[in-house]
Amino acid sequence: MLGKTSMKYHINKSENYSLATIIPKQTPTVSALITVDVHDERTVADQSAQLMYGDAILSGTDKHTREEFLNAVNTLGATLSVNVGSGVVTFSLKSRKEHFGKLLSLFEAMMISPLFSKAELQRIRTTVHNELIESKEDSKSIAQENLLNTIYGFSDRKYTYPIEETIECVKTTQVRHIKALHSKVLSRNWTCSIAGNSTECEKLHKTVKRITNNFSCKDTTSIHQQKTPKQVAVLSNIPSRSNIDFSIGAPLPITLHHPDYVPLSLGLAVLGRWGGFSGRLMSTVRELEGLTYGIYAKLEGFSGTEQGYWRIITFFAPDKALQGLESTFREIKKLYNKGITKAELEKFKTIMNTSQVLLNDSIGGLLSDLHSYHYNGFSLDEMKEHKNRVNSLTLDEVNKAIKTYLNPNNLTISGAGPTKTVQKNIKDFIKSV
Amino acid sequence: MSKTTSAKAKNKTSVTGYTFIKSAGGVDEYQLKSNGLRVLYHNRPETGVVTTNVTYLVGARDEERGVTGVAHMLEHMLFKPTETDVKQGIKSGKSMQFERETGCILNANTWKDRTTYYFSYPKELLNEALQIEAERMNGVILNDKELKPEQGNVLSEFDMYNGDPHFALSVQMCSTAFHSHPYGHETIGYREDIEDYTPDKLEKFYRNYYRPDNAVMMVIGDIDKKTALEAVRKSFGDIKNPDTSIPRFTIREPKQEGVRRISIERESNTNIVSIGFKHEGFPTKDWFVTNIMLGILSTGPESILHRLLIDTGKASSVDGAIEPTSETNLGLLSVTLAEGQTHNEIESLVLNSFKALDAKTISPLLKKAKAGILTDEMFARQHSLRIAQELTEYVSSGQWEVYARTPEILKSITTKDILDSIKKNFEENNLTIGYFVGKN
Repeated sequence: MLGKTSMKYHINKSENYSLATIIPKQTPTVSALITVDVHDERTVADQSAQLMYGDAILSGTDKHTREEFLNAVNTLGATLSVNVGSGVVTFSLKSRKEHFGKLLSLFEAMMISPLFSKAELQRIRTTVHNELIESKEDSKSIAQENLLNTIYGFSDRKYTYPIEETIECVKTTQVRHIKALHSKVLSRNWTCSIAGNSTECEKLHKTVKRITNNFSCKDTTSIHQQKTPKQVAVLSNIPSRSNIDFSIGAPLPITLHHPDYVPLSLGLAVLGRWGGFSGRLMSTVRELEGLTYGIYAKLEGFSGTEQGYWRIITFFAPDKALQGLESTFREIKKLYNKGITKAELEKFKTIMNTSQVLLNDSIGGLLSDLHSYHYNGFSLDEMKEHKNRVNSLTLDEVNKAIKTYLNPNNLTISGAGPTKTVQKNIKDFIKSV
Repeated sequence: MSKTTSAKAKNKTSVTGYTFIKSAGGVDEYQLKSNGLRVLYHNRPETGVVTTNVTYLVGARDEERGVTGVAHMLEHMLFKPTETDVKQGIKSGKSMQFERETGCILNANTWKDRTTYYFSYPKELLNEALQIEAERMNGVILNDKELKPEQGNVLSEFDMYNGDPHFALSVQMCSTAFHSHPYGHETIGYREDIEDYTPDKLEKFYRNYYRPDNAVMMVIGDIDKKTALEAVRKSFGDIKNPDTSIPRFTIREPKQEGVRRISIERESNTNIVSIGFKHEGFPTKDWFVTNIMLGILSTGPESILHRLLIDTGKASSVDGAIEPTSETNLGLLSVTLAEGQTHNEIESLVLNSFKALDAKTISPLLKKAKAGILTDEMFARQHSLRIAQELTEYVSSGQWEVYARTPEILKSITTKDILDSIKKNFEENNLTIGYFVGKN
């Protein structure tokens, strides 16, 4: 389902950018997302520069100091933010429609002539340093990063270098490193999506065209290093936390465009659909056994050409950790050995269709959904086809995908939190799976 | 108004079985004649989606010592089977089954003054969603078999929050700030109380507060008013209120004299200074002034404390928050210290910096803060779930119609209001200061 009838969708492609538009019937606001893939090869220097880029690009232009620039954006009541992670830079622009033109002018100035001063870089070094220190106790992120480091090699975008090594590297990151990253942003293909009226969409189109026309889009080689699955437990002891956060997962040798992707996503939804209570893990490990507040399973890390992984996200109190893991693996094994039922197939088809209907309740939700497909190389027809694919799935297709990809013996258990007292038990447990 | 116009207006608002109460900002309020249930209706055409949200006017403030968190525990139990579910052989409870079969969004949350349950779904499911909500208004089974596993989940939820140093500190600060008022305990309650819940304790709370005359139902989305109100009447119209009155506590907090202090020590790398201040209830103009004042001090790179502490490397983060509670509550301004900083120095630096603030500094920041909040409001009012979430806070304050006037209130806030708010809120006799001390 491609949204409600009162909206128009369009994708305009050029050599340097691709622009997708949603034109709702009536809205007083405009939201736009611009995503650029800057990954070549993950290094600690690259990771450090990316950590600093978001603040650096918002720190003034040749015509504005940082203070003047922030003042100009905030006077509009607008949002201009930059998110950088795993070699992907996303700019988000949000404003009332009457201010969107001015916001775009500021965005253009920021992209064409950013200040990148030494003084600002010194401030950013300190800020990033302090954030990295604070992140040492972020057990949820640490559990996920440690899992991904067992799935991906050093040069992959999803690899995370250790905090201490990154802190050292941030100290030596110079203006030239940030400028080099910015040059990459300008010379790569831009994926742009906007929800707003046609005048504002056209304004974005012209701005993007002007910025990207100054640069020729370069072909690049991006390193992707997915490892073979490893049955291992990786545990980080963080005594200040009460629960142990777990990320349990394994690599998947397919991309978003692979025919098995949709059947596998339905199969995994039956195990632990993200959000809500409908997955088997929520019905058993949480509802019947009372072992955790939340437990979900999802496919992650996929992009147009890169393979992703599957991950179970949960947490347990230290004294319930072993029992929690046993219950979790019992459900995974049950799914792997017996597959899903015909009734579950039909039920989850309905669930997945409903989630598409619910997107229509929010323009922001529609934009985010469209942008995700757009960035991953889907045309509007392909997006429609990908969404409709769920309706034609057979039980055999789904269970075959589960059997091919969700082997419990391939899973890495990554835990972060007060693990000291249960380390041995968890390590023994993974050997017994 | 002429007689003809008046009759037309009456026809427009007249719905069988209901008394029309009032309209404001595109929201209409009705009350069921049979049992006093109030219904708020707002139309959002052409989305195909409806959000229904029932708010019970009961929360953590209605709990007694020894049963803190019971409102929240009961919220969890409303997803368990009802007497009707058992008769129909639905083991997991119809609300859960509804989500598991249709893929609708369903959830609930409890706060100081209220407990809220909501569904968001394709509009064809309106009757089914309302029927589930009606059945669990008074038919949930509360016994050990259902309670025990859910108690485990709530303890897991408690540990999830308590592992966060900011949360752990805020719990201690609230209990230090309030000696008598029930806002002194967190909504989730104390772990020891959660461990001691029994079905009887929950049952008592359920019978006292879960009743039509203590609830407000919202229907927001792509559905016409007549259909929406008739559907609500069909599902809820026959539910009777108990003969007893709704228990309410009126507690006046004793006067505070001097700064109150609390500290927590835990094995951790984190160090926090948190400055708590008692602020006016929601949705008074004072509350909105305090909210904007807090934004000016702590939100975004232009804020006073970001420049003072983050840009200079003295802190890794600064956060400010106040809750939309109907009575005076504790707002928090928290600073996570950078390595090498001391709690005392940061506390002094922050409080002294407020004394130096003047109109020249505040005026441009206020203008921008107002522009930002008004834009955020525009985005929020384009999504039925977010409308319901926002309106819920106004409902629980007893003044939902202020929702419609909020943009005007925000526009009326002046620089003097902000300066007065800083002076009043950060005055010594209004402060509770907390330190989280990380020990390695």
